[in-house]
Parts: sequence; structure tokens; C-alpha cells
Amino acid sequence: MFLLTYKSCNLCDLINHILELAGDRNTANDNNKKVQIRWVIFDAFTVYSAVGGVRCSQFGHHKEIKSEMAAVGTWAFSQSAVERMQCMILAGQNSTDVIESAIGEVENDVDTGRNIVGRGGFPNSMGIVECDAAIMEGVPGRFGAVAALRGVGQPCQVARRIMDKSPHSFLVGEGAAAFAQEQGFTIEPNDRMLSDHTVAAYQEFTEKGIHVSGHDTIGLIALDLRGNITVGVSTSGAPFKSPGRVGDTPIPGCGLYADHMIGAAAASGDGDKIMCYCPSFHIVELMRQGFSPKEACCSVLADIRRKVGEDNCFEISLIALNMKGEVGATSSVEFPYTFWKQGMDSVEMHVLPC
Amino acid sequence: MIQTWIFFIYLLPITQAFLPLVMNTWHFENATVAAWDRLVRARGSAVDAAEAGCAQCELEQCDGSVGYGGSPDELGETTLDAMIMNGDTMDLGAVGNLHRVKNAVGVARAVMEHTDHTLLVGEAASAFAQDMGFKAEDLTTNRSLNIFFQWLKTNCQPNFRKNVLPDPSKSCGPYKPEPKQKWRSQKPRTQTDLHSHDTIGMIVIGQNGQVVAATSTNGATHKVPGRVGDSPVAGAGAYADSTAGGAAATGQGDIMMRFLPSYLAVELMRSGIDPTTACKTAISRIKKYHGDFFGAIICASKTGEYGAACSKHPGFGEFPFMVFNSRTNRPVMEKVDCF
Repeated sequence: MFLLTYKSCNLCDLINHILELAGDRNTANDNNKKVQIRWVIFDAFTVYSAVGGVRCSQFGHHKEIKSEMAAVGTWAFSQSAVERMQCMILAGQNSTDVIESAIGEVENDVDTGRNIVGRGGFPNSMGIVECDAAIMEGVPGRFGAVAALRGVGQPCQVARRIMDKSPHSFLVGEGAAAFAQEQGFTIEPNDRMLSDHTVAAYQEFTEKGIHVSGHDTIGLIALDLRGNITVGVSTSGAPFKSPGRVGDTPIPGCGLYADHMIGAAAASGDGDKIMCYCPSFHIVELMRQGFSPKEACCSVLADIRRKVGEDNCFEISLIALNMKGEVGATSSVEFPYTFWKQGMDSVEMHVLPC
Repeated sequence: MIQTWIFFIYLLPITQAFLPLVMNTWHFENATVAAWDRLVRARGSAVDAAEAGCAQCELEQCDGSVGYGGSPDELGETTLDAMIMNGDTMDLGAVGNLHRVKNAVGVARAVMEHTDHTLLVGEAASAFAQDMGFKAEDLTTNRSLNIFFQWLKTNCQPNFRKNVLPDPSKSCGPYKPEPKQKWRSQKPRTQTDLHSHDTIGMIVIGQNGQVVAATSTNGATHKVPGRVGDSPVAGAGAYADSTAGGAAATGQGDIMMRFLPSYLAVELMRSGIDPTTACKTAISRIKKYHGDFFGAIICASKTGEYGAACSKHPGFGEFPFMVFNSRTNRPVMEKVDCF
């Protein structure tokens, strides 16, 4: 255990210093000029990122740095979240705080709601926005989830409170809202959860039966510098779903799974179908047996395709991260995902073909 | 001629003697019989049989831990969780936190057969059930009310709250979060009532090899309203895949659902591991982190071999389960020692 007392006005030097301490001198030298974050004030100060103006605080005392650092997210709209995660991870923040914060920004932003997450997400068939979210730490199988939660713009924060403050794992519906209220969340009226876009879409649905396609979920995985891994997921669910309908997102093993010795995975897509196959758990099990994240994802998708028939495969996209910071992804549809790992100067987006 | 018959007898898979199979958690014998009757006498499907078996426990309020009139939550209400999974099609239907409808597994089946969804929860699930023709009625009885009132008298002990004010080890709610710097590490919860976490978990394998798994429960007594346990979660409470086998679990659902024991057991059986070892591995995975959690699992391979395992817990040293197959020809209670 040691106290980092390094003070610098240059994040490049800071990262250099951290990576030197981690023993990775070559990478440190390469990183020196490439990092895009503008300036840092460390230890008694606060780290600022020029990327999106995100502010990261660090905790001062650091335990021995022992792992690769990495972050990955589903879909193109996760880019800003993963950039935020990069900054927070580099600043030494705990993986669970990183996930909660990054997902919260996406959930609460009514514009990303059109991607079927949180505030601004599509309502159920009665016009009410109901959200599902979950968070799982790899250490040691800690988990919290909410489903069919109304009136909360950042449902993943409520899921975290369940993980931290309740021996239960999963709260739904009115009970979840009551718990959230007890925990200090405001339950907002439904029209605060809708956007102009979703109101118009709902009107088209009720008047003309026009559906909206897409089953997006934001799934984020963070691996911090202490080797903690956390995965978080959030969605407003299938547009115009039946009231009370819960998809795969908040279901352990389906929407998400994490194991502190192995890694984590998350899924997105047709939740009603996904939840019959426990894909996230399956991916982690294969990684446990030595598969790389990519091999594990592909194997699970191939397995599902075999079971349902090649022509009947539903929409499913999978991401995975192991404790070495290796990323894997696969999908039955075109699937952009964003990721960053230690040594990369910026977040990259890859797009998988179908 | 005799040689021909002998030749054909040798060709018969030895395992045919094990099917059909009905297997369920705990000593809920009437449920076993109800499922078998539906499967064999009434020539129903494995789905019909699993539904009938779990529904029998809902009707009989097995051990007070299934169906109406048991396990009141913090507000005194009984709510139900259930699921049913068809291992042929990998279709699944489940309900969580179901209010005011007694036949939870029936509603789960309706979700599977009458919607494209898989899980419905809360008041909306109850509205769906009523649309489907299920009767809305009070799930509270004098017994559950009595449990609730006695609990209030003890200042709401035990409960599932932590890191809140007022001190949940001394007081009822309503509760507010405690400032983070005052959080204590959670003391292990002493299991005062083993029945507070029972579930009927059932596996049915038809003569044709169709594997179905189902569960039904009223959840943990004095649970936080809205709490859903492992029972309606595919892979946790139960799992079925006719190409491998089925599994169903019971116990402390809040913990077990994080480890997907039923899915793990089925996948292990798929790779050729025998059901008993598959069950033990699933339990061991959880014990690594929760050494004396309360829980058990039953497993059956697609050929009808079966096994079970359980985690040792104060007051819980062996786990009874029921088996009825074409070899026993009657419901038989078996037990395993917990480890």
C-alpha cells in the first residue's frame, strides 16, 4: 500500500507515473504524448477531462495497482459514457462508481432516451414509461436490480442502492418505487419521463398501430485500476410493451453478469427471447474455461442460433470484458460498440457486421 | 424368433425405464401425484403436468410458503412469483410480485402462451391475469394476517433492511437511508424460520423426452414490497432444455439468483456430468461466497437420471425431494445430506 503524492499539471505525466508504478514502462513512454485530456491536478486536487468537460475526482490513497484498466459499452450512443468512464478509471475511481455515474448520465439525458434508455425512453402500451436496470459487481457476486420502475430518471442508481442497502436483489413495480422514494429519489410524473419524440411516437402507435423498432439497452462494463470489475445495464424496455413487462436487462445471467476472477458480460436486443438463454452467464462461464471474450461471445451466439434455427435468430448483441482488459463482442444484427483500454489514447468505436 | 426378441431388447435404451419422470422439491407429495396423474393418466403434456403440480401446492398452500395466505410482506400483503419453462421450444413464462391472483403458475403459463413477453410483474401482471380470466381475490388469510401482526408486535423483527434509520434491528419502518460513513458490514442473518424461503420447484420429463421446469412461491416472509426472488428468473429458480435436462432450486432467493444455479446445472449435465454432481457444483459455486446459505437444488438429465444437493444451514442438514417415475411407480420421498 502506498500513497501517491505525485502532483502534476499534466495528465500525460500522471498517467506516465501511474503506469510506471504498474511496471509498464514502455506503454508509459508511448502514452506520454498521445493522451488527449488537457490538464490534471492530482491528489488534493481534481482531474478535469477536456473530453466533454467531464470532471473526475480521485480519492487520494491508492492501493497497489494490479490490473489492466478498460471500459466497454453497447451501441454508438455509449461513446460519451465510455469516454467518461475512461476519465474516471484513470482518476482512480472504483468501477461501481464509474458505472453508476456513466449510466446515470445516459439515463437522465432525454435525448439518448430515443435509444430506449431511461428518461425519454418509449412508454408501455398505456403510455407510462417503465424502466429496468441492474448493476453487478464481480466482487463477490453482488447484484441489484429494478424492473418496471416508474418516475425515476436514473433507475440504475436505484439498482445500486438495492445492491448496497438491501439483502434483496431485485425489486419491481410499486415496491421498487416505494424503496426509491425511501432512499431519497423523487418519483416524477410520467410526462417528465416522456419527450416530444416519444409522445409523438406513442400517438402514432395508438392511432395507427405504428410500432417503433429497436431493443436498445445501454450496457457498460468497467475494469478499474484495482482490478474491480462492474457491469451495469439500463433500458426503458420494448417500446409500447405490455404494462409490467420485464425483459432480459435486469435479470442476472441474462442482461448482465460479472465474476471478479473472470470478467463480465452484457446483452442487448429482443429481451423476451434473450432471457430464455442466460447468455451473459454463459459467456462468463466460457471465459472461466479459458475462452477469450470474443470466442465466448461468438460461441454463445452460435449456440443460440443452433437452438432456434439459423433463420429464426432474434436480435441479440453481446459484449464481454475479461480481467486482462480484453474485449469481445458479437451480434446477430449490425452492432456498434465502444471501448477503451489502458494504452489507448482515446475511445474507439467498432461496428460489427451482421 | 426368441433371438430376434432378445436382440431388440438389447437395443432398447436402458434409460427408458426412467421416463416419464416427475420430480419436485420438498415433501410436497400431492403436487407430485397431481403432476403424474396429469401426465400419465390424463395423457397431458409435460407442460400441463408441471403446471398442475405447482398449482396443487398453490391450492394447498404447501408449508405456507407457496400460494395464498403465507409469507406476508412488510405491508402484510401476500404476493406470488412463478415460472414455467418448456425445454422443447425454450419458451418461458413468468410472473413476479403478482397481487390478488392465486394461481400464479397458471398466469405464468398464460404469459408464455398468450404474449410474446416472458416476465410480467406487479399490479400490471395482476391486470393481465384478470384479462386472461383469472379471478381477482384477496390472498390474505387470518393466518397471514396473524403472522403480520405478531411481527409488528416484535418491532418488525426479523426484516430485510440494512444501512437505514431507524435501526432496523430494533424498529419498524418507514426507513430512511443512513449516511454512508455509518454503514456496518452486514451481520449474517440467522435463519429463524426455514420455511420462510420454500418454493415448489418441479421438473417433468415426458415419455417423449420433453423437459419442463416450473416453480411457484410466495417468497420470503416480511420481504420488502416489490421484492422478487429467484423463482421466476430463468436459470435461477429453474431451467429446462430438452437436449440436456432440467433443474429447479429453492432457498434464499436473494442470494441464489446471483449465481444462476439451475442454468449451470443444466449446462453441466449437457457436458455429460451426472445430475448429482451437477447439483453439487451449482451449490458449491454459491457456498464459495455464502458459506452457510440456505438452499437446495434438484436436477434431472434428459434421460431421466436425477440428483439433488443442498447447503448446510443451522437447522437444515438434509433436503427431502419427491420422485415419481416409471420405475418407482409411486411417489417416493428421497433425501440428500447437505454439505
